[in-house]
Amino acid sequence: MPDTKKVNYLAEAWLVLTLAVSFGAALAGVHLALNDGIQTNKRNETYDQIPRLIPGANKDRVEAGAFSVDVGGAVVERTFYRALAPDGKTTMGYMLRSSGMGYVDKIEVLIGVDVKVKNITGLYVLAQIETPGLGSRIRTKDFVSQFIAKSTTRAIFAMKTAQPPESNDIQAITSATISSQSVCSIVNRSVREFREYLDASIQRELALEHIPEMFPGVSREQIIDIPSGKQVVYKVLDADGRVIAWVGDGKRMGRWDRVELLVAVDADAQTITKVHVVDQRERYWKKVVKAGYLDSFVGKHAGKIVMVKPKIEPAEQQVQAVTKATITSMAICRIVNEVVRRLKRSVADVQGGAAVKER
Amino acid sequence: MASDGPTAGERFLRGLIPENPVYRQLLGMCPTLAVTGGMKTAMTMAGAVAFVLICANVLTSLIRNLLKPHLRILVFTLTIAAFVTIADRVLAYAMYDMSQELGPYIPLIIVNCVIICRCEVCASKQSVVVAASDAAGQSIGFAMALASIAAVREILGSGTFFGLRVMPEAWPNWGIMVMPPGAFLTLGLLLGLANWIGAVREKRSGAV
Amino acid sequence: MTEATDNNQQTDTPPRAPAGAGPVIHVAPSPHSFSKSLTTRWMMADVLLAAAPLVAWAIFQFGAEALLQLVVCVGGCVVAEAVFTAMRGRCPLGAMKDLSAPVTGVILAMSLPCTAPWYVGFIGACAAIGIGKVVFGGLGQNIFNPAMVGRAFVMICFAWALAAGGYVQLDEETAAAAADPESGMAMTAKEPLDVISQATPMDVLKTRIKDRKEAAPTTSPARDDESPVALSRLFLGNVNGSIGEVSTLACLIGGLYLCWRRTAAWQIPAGVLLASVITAGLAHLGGGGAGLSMADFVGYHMFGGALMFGAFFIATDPVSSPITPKGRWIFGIGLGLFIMLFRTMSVFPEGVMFAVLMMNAVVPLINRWTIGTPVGGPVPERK
Repeated sequence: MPDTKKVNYLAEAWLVLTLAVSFGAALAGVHLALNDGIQTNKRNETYDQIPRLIPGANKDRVEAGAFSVDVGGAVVERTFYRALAPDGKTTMGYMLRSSGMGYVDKIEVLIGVDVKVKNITGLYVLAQIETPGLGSRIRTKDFVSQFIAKSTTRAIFAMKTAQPPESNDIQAITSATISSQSVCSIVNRSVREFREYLDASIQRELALEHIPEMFPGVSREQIIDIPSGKQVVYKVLDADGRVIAWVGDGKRMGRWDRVELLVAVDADAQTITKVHVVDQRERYWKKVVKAGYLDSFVGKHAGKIVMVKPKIEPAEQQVQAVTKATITSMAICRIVNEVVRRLKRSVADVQGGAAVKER
Repeated sequence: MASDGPTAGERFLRGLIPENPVYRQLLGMCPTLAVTGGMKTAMTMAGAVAFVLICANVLTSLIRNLLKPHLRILVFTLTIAAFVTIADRVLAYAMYDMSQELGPYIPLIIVNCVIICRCEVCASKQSVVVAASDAAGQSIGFAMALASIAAVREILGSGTFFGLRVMPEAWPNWGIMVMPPGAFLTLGLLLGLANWIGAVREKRSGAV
Repeated sequence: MTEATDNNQQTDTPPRAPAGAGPVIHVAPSPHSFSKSLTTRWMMADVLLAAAPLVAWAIFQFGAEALLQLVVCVGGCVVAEAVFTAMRGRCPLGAMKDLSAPVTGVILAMSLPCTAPWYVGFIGACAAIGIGKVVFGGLGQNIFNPAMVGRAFVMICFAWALAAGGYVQLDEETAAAAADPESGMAMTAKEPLDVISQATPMDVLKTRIKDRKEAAPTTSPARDDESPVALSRLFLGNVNGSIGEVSTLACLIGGLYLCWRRTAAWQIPAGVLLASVITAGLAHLGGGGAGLSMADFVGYHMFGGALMFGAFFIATDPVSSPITPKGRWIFGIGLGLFIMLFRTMSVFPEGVMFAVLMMNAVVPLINRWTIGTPVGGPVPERK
């Protein structure tokens, strides 16, 4: 009985099975034949934009990369493309692929940034379904070209009025302020994410660029980076090869955005010798500078420093917070403490290691 | 096996107007509404549907004597799905822009009732030649219907035809036409027009 | 009301007045013609008459452009009505006699800004008559208010011409000429240009609320670039906006005339105003007051924008509003709620049009809920 049933099933279904198998084979064939071309098409859709967004770049000299970011608890993969110079090594700039919510639905953009991620070199809207005639004008050249040459160190805003060329803001599309602002926010966020990702390498670039500012006369060759856990500290030598300082960098959220500092200690890691600002976007920064807050760290012993309220006279190992900028002041104080702790540890490691070697 | 039912020529002609899939049978409404914002997308869709319809009809007609009645829908769906996947891949290969723009609507041809309806009504009962000409007629009818809607929407909504400017520069684009409400309005008004023309013609032939 | 009676009993016994019910006799839906002044034609003529103050104010305020808008819209509606009625095989002149096309045209024109180009009015008129009325089967069959269908159509088509920015944009040359005291233009047409170049009151309010929201957590309340218009000016109508909506005074004169003539059902504007006052008050209590005092804020919502015009002229369209008094209350209150919801929560500064269309859509349902029970108990269902 079971046998006859089986046979019946086969008799009923042989046509379906045969068709399924032959269709499967046909589809496999189609896939084999066309897949390469489809992949090239997909790649070209993005790659065709590279010469437009990164001046001087060629779409054949591109490396794709990806990094993941944490967006409200969800891990999202972001793609970026590195455009290479004709020598095949030097980076000419990056193109970031990113997306975010617009007025109607998700907007996908490609953002070109220069090699230091300091200026925007181009913007292209890949996909959007904003209101036709209003929000959809974010695609127009008039709108996207406004982003070119804007600095990434300050957030870009969409304003209702025309902006002078030196302003870091853009003019929103009339009656489509939300779509316009969405594009700005996507650009701001994506560039920040990318900067954070590139921190490891850019950090080094920035540090190498800023350390000569802290110690005039020091050339790049006199700065030696030493890995310290996940981070790096820098040993600064004088012309004779003696250590004049150890420098470390640290960053932390201030009142408005990230504050990034370089802190230097002397060769024995006993005294703080310099506090240098790499990047900040604080609104009351002028007050901080005017109060000489950063200089108040100089000369303190390289140990824990406590910040006191503006009205209290600071004792030894204490600094006085700046009126109306206490949160910024607190952030700076914490950064200094962190960096100094790290520097002391690194210096101890290095000197300890050297001592062992000598023995 | 001798086919009974309409001949190949009759089948072909019926697909154009008297049994037009959109205006007479009201089948395939999803692509009719969704991809008729411009002529390019509409015609690409019509081409894809034509390919799938003709292939599915011919194949179904070839195997019509082997079909088990209770498994026929399964076979139709399988056949259509295979051809739609091929069409989707070929589009992504040859016309990548269009395939991006049409997005999910190409895979959705699988559930386009026009095709399964033709397989059921004609191809599973009649010879290959009749099935092929039926598919051709229906495809052309479908293409004409999409073209009529897309032409209205693209010209009014964007001032262009196949992406080429046909209206003067000063033409104000009717934003509503490229949006979903425009699709419903245009389809409704054109359907009304088609019915009205049909009614007038019937009256005339009745009078004669 | 009536006593609950058994259906079986009903079919057997002839209808009789229930014993315990008071003599509550509401207007029943059927056309019980009892007054010559309530023919369609007279009602429409009444609306035209009531709109006269609005039209006069619009022309005084916005000049020739308002007149042009009016001519284009009324002309467009009449032409469209003639063409579409002819297409339906009816006599075009017969349909014209009820004056409903000019009324649609006037209301449409009054709801457009004077800066909208002529074709906006014309296309709006064709859409109003064609899509709004004729496709449903002509006057009396339409679900939606035709004028609002036409306005919604052009609003989505030409958002730039009707959106908030549309009111305040002058082309550069005109603006420059207007600003230049030497030019003849500023001499002859100073007044109207002054008004047009202002932001509309509702725009000002929306901007204030938005600015406050953004500024609130960080800094002390920012100085306002555009302070709201004084209520007296709003009431009189010396502000920018759609040509018919600006003057509260004119709307009130026309609207009260309509209510007195019973062409408009008084319950609808009453409901709208009541619901808007309460909602505006609640919005103010909820912290959305844009820095105005409670009285100012509520007054601003009452007199600014299209609320008065909508309440008296748009919502009271007898075809697309409910037929029972109770239903009219529900309609009016719902309308007021939606208007305030759109004004306070949406990205649009004004919400009368969308609110009217939304409430139009539920009118059949309201009618079904509130239809009176005939004297003698419910009508038995036919089997």
